Amino acid sequence: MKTEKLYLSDEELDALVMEIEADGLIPAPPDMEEAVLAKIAAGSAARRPRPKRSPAAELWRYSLQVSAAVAAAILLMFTAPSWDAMRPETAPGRGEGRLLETLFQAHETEQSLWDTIFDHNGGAS
Amino acid sequence: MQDYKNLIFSLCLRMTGDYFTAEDLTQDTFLAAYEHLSSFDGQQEKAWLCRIAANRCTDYLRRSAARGVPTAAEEFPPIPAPSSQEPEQRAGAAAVMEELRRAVEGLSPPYRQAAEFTYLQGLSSREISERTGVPLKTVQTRIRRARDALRKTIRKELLD
Repeated sequence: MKTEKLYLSDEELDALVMEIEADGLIPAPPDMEEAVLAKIAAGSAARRPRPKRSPAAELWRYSLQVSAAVAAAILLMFTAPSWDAMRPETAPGRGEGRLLETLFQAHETEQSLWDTIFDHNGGAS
Repeated sequence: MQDYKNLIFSLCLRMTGDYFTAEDLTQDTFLAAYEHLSSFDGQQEKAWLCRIAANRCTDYLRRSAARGVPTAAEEFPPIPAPSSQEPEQRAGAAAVMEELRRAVEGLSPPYRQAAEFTYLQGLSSREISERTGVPLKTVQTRIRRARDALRKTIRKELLD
């Protein structure tokens, strides 16, 4: 194969290594080990398989989630109106009382107005 | 890795003639060795690592030649046998280091200092941080930026 000829033979590689060692080694960049270890760690984390559950366990887990969601929804449905009733400004007793009080004041005002009119007419006749 | 990193780096530097390419290929070599550790018979680890490194360098040079990217390696293929190399070629690694030194001098001050400590004095980022009092993260950022700038400078010089 043509590409195979591009690689160094064992003899050529041995000779090259011996020559490099004889000439003196060039120190590798100092943080190289950390970089390699970080890449290995990153690669291992990426390749780590997620723990597999059986289909039955997955179904059981999904059913539990749905059941919890339904229960929460039902609970909210029944408790939400009572929350609204507990708010002071919308409590029915106080609201109705305030309305009656206003109506009573209006009635008194009207009554006093009529009294004034009758008194005036009576005085005139 | 501690025992062979300088040898593998020197081999990659000799074969590619580029400091930062040699750095990348050295890292690739150790990563490949780690990934194929199960297929290693435990004997002649030096020869095994050198074989991985040499093949990676050859693959890199072949890909560069195919893309038309110039490399510092003057002759390709094949890499000449050591006995046939001229003295000028044998001094290739020293020339690369001299080229690196010149490129480092051209950097702006904070990056030049980081690059000098890292590439010329061989200090780790932690040692530089302790010596200069600069936070470790800052030192690491400066080294990374200095490396990027040096890589561009040296690549540009090769193109010229």
